[in-house]
Amino acid sequence: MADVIEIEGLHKHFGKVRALDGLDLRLAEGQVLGFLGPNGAGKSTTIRVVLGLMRKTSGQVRLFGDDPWAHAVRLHRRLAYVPGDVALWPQLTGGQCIDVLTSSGPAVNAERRDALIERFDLDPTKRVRDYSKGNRQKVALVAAFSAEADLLVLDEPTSGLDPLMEEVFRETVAERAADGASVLLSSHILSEVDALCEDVAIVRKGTIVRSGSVAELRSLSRTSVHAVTTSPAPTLDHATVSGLQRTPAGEGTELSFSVDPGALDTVLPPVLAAGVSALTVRPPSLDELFLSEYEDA
Amino acid sequence: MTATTEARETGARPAEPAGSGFGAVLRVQLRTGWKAPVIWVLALVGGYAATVAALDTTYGTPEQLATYEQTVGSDPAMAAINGTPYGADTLGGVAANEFGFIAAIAIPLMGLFLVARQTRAPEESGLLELLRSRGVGRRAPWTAAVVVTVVALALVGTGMALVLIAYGEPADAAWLYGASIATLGGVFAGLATFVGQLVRRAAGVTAVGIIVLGGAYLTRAIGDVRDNAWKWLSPLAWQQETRPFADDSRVWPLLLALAVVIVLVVAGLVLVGSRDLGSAMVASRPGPRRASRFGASTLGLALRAHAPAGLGWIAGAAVVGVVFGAFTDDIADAVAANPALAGMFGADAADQVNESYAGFTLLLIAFMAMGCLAQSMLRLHGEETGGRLEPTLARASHRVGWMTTHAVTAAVFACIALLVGGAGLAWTAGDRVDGVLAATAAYLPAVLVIGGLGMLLFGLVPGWSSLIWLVLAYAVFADLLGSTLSLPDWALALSPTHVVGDVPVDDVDAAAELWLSVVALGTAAVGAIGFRLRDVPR
Repeated sequence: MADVIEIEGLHKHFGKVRALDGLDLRLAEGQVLGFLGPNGAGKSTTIRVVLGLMRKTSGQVRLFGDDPWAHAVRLHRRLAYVPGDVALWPQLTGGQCIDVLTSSGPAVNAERRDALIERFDLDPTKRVRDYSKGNRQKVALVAAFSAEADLLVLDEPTSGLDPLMEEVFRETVAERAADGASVLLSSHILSEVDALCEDVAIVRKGTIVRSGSVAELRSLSRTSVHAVTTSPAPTLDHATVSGLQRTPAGEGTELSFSVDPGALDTVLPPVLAAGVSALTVRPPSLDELFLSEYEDA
Repeated sequence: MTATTEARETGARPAEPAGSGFGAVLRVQLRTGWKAPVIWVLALVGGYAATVAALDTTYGTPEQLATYEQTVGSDPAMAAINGTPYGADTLGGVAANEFGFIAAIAIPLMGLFLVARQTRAPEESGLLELLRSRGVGRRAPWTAAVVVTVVALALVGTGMALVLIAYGEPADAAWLYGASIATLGGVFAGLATFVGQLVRRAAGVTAVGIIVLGGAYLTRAIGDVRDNAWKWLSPLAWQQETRPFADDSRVWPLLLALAVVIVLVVAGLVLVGSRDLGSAMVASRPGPRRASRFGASTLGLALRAHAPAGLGWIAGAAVVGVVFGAFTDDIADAVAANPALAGMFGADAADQVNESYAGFTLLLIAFMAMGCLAQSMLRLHGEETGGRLEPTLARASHRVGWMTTHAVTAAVFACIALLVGGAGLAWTAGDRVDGVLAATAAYLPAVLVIGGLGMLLFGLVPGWSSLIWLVLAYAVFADLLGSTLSLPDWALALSPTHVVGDVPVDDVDAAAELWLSVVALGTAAVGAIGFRLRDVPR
């Protein structure tokens, strides 16, 4: 089975600016992929190229196995898209906008649409110009989720949603994924990515700097350990631990260091043998992981 | 309720007046919008100076000026179009008449646009919210916009007066003319300030302004042709009736206009002090829960986008056609009573005058249809900058299909405006002028050229879409002043309406019609291809 999205060595230049600089990305059928990166890294540009709204400068882009620039209309019958900054027709009502957005494209599940309007607590008779940003976002989400789409392309879809609605959003994405839809989720909200996505790809300056499953990425970063021993602690191998700090604490020692998760079973036993009065072992948080990827020069 | 409470609080604390931050807003407005007033001032003063220079060569002697007054100056058809030519035996009076139509349209639009684009437009886009959060009072953006506009109008008036003085006209007449022109613009700047509090959208402000301008033009024309009091409803007449170059020149119509400016501006500034940001006096109501199948289609959306302006232009064109057509009888009577005109045109003077008058009215209607199309074509770019084009095209809808649906819908409204206007003219003037309907149809390709150019700009250089107004402004300029300025043929041929020829006086030129159709279709096709091949958004 071909992947839903296949991108290889994608370049997109705007004059001298290289918005995308050899980007590779794959989204398998049924996969929920978190697409992360700092502002201006090229997430929206990638999505626009995938949707055939922008033309690639060079590289390979396949959507459902086809060229999205040449066959945009046919391919769009299988997907639904939520832009990051939802702009709608100010003189229409929210309900009318949902119908406009779903008027061509995948078939609409009317029951689900009505249920979603309820769940997202949306007043479909209100004019769009009277909506807040969050409510405009909800209109686009309801339209996207009520379509029987094989692929959901969501570009920072929860900006402006309140925590309650954010929760409804997560449930709905999970339901659509359980139905077999593939999801490309561009997001800045790490807890959202952590909750919804098995896999992530991190883009920076137009290229993917890291991709893999969330579990894999976790295993790549280091676990931090803090311990207070009752007797003087043994010396630790500086090749396996880093950021080691030792301070005498009464009879024993207060230790803190970080270590690869795989090396825990060699590092911890000698510490435990020294007698432990306090011990915290904290797995790497996604935030730390992403921050280090975002910041690296 | 909130607004009233807030207003009372503001009143209680004079330390934060609603006008504070005036200087800051003024700087922002000049930084972001200095081009528009500069272009208006240079174009109007430059166009006027060129007109006066050309007229000075054509009508250099008192005898030539006297001939002008006896022929053109006493032609009632000209009175309908340009206004009563008071003092047409002086260079200033002739220039006021020749430049009269352009001034009557351009000066009010200048006042209207310059205010609306710095007030309601940024309020609509949310820019004003950011400014207002930085210690800028409610009134400041409006006062700053009014001040900039008034200064720009004063520069236009001063420039015109200086041109006249340079050509030897008496200074008091020159300054009265300049002041009357500036005040005319001020009336519409005041109108924008007032209407800007009542409607939410900048487009709505200009729409109301253009309707008022149309009404002003009509009541002025009725008053001038029938010599009745209708004209006093019209700000255009307040300008004209100062009669700067006639022996009976007077200042009081200017004072009437000034009083109206002050009332409108003050009313607007009072209202803005008591309303919420982004709100209007006209509240919006809930609407339907669902869109019909048709309403959600591309055609349905295109109709919704173009119908309000389109219907407005159609109504305007119909009124112009019917009312101006009705003047043909008056014109025939006046020509019969005027031996000078009969001497110039011969035995069938009345028919000839009426024919060229009908031709001019048709040209006017064609300009309206082109304005309708230019405005509608700009909405395509508006969809893109507004961010709505992206989700539209992310559905399974063809780009070129979307573009042509919008362009064709817009073109249909513009063509209907032209045909309805022409039919109105044929209805009221048909017994005196033959071939009005054929002549109307002859303008169709010229109108469609504007649509083709609109597609070309949107497809290739969307950021330059508003150049379409410049094309239209050039056509108006070249057609109305081209012969006065003795523009070379190639420069005249750049105006699509000029290419059509002098219908119905001359026969319809099939080659010109074919050429215009080719240009319209060619530019449209290139625009469509360009749009298919470009990035969205760009």
